[in-house]
Amino acid sequence: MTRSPLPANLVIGAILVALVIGVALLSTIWTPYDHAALDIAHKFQGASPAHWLGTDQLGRDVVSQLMVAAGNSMVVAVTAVLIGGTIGTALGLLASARGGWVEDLVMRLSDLGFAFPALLFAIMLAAAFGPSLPNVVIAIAFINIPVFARVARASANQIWTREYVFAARAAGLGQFAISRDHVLPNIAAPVIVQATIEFALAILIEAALSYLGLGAQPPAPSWGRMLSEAQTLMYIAPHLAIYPGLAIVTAVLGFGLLGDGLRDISDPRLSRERPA
Amino acid sequence: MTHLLSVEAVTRQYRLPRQALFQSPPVQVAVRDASFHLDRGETLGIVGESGSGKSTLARMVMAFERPDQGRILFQGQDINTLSGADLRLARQRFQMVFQDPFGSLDPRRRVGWSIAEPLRATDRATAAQIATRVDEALDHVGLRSRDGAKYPHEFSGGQRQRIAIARAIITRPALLVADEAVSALDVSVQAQILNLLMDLQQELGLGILFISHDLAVVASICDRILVMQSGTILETGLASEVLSNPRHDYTRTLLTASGM
Amino acid sequence: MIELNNLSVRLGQFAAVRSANLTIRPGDRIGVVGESGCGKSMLALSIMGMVPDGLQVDGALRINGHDMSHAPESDWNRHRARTMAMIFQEPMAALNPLRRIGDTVAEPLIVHERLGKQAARARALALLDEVGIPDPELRLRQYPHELSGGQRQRVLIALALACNPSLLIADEPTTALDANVALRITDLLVRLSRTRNMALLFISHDLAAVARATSDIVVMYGGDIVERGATHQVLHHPVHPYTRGLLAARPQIARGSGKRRRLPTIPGTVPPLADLPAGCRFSGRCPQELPHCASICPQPVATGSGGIVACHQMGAGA
Repeated sequence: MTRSPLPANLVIGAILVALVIGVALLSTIWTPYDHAALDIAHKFQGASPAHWLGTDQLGRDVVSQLMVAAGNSMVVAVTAVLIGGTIGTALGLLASARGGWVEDLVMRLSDLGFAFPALLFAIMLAAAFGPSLPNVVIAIAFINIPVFARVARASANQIWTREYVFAARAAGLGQFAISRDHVLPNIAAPVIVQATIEFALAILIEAALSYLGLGAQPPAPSWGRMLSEAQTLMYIAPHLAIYPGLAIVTAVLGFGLLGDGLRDISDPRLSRERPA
Repeated sequence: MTHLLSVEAVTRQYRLPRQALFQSPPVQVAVRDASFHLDRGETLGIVGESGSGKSTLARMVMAFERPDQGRILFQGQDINTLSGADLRLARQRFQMVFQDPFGSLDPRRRVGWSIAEPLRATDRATAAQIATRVDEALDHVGLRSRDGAKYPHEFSGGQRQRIAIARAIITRPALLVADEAVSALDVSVQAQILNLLMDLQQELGLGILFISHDLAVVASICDRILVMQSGTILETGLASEVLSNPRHDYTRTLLTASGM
Repeated sequence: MIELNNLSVRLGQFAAVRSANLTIRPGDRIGVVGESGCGKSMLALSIMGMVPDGLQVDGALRINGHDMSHAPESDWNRHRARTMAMIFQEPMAALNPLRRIGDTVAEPLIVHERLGKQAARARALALLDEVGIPDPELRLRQYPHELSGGQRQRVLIALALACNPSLLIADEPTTALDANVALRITDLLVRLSRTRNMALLFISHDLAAVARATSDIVVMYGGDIVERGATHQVLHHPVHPYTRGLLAARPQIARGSGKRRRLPTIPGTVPPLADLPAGCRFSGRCPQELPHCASICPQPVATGSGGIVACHQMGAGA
């Protein structure tokens, strides 16, 4: 019948996300300057035609740093959420299909996982294995596993009660085949929505860890580390703190709104099937 | 002689949540001591209202649940003693049509894919063979070959039931369990589906277990009838006899309620 | 008292209800039957002024002489619950699970009739008693989930009666209920209609229930009213080919033993809204079709037994 307009949060989120991802992709082939190039003679410059957002304490171009940092942020978020999401979803599907003690075990383990705040876990990893970007990815992936396990299990449980699953059982399909052919495609929507929200969180966590010095190590730029470096320079060059902060807000807000918007359009459409 | 389906003194009960800490939890008996049999070419109707146990009985016949007591024999074999793999293989010979024409088909799959599902599960057929069998099945239920490429939402309720029936007969089963298969359909569509079931029974020699709350529907299609209430079979016999000489007040009430 | 004159409900150029004519007087008990997509629910909603957004209502709808065609929402609100009330199919979905029954039933009394809490509670009690709920004081304090399906439907009926409407529209009131319970709800509606001299519009695809509850019947197909008349007359001597086909397709209990016979059916299926023929909606499936049926809309004519039918076979050429 009449098409309802797309919700505002979806549109705004999509635009912001496209912006961030676009910048990140662009950074792989072009930045105004080499982000690590020092130019001490021109340190602490404000915005100018040469340096659109100025330079930092070592004369490095801010725009270039923000762009490459965006790329790092995206890579970390995507990799971590992909890994954690895949493992978590698989566990959730397994728990839902098997039920019984398997389900209990998976759920208790994920409760355990929830008990570890990402930051704490990352700090532990850093203390044990040294700070680095790969360790950040592992930490974020780890805390994503229980999140996806829970979402996948809850959605899958609903699907198992649907009649077409009974029909598949009547057809002689085993649990694995049913999970693969019927359950997984039908839980894709809530899982994707969750993934979008986890991207937002992952960006935030990566920034926080880098701020603490536990993430990207110099010279790899990161919004979080730019913020921590700018802290001591607040009175000399406030712009150095504002821009990375804005970048983080944009990215996190963008993914968050996108996730919200996706949830809004997916829920009513999928939970109510249209009669012919 | 071995019946196609033989249900022997089957009981199924559920344990309800505990009411008090030191008491054993109450038990609800869904089906109590049910026995009946069915042969090929025969239609047996089970009539009852919600809570009568008829759906639980259907699920046990389809081996979705195990009876707590009693046996269910399909072609002489106790289905609950079969291993997982053997049971899945045996399922080719007994199939089910469900009530909800909107829910029994995966909305994300093309109809032809859903129809072929029982074949893919255990048969070692090639893609070409599967396609041929799907076309045959569609033809049997009065649909066209190209309908197989469409999605469920493109069909009406009655057509979706035809698709569900096509899926149920594709493995050429001996037994078809129809659980409220026409209850969600309009009267004129219902008539078409009932005719279809009768035609298929003749063509394929099916034994049909027809479960419904609607006495008139059961009466028009079944040779024998079982009346259930609160888990117990109240009476059983030839349709014509049970309906003209009901022995239980409950059966009489059902007759009145359906306008007879 | 309530008059529909050439009432149509359209979506763009497609009509969910086409040129419906109906008069409902106090105390009338009218059944509306038809299959999915025939427009019976839309007809009911148009009487309540609750047609979904995006659909357009043409033609005249008069409530007690007052034309509601361009009436503002405030006019409609004055009539809803007080002149006409409606109950629906799913008793569980219509009751707020977080409120006690007593509060739910008392609400329209407090809002519309401006009764105080005590007076409203007393009236709620009386209403629950009137609809046949045993032990009403206890039920007042209970929540919906503590009642059975049949009892919930009775509560909804009580709710609908709260402000003494002149018309009660029941849209598939018995479909979600067991046969036993459905029977008693149907009888309740008839009793209420008699004692309150309240008109009853009974919409259902359950012909047995309609036969029991109504004195007149309206048959709809594809948005058109194809036949109208006394219930007994239409059900036993149907005139319109669709009505005939529908009644013949009902499963019958075969008298005596003998081979089960195939049920007579109406060939084909109801076309989707966009594909309905411009003339008689039933053309394309009608066993008595004439060449001009598909393009020319049949006008309603008298049947000679007090009813009305819209069929070219009964028109000036018959």
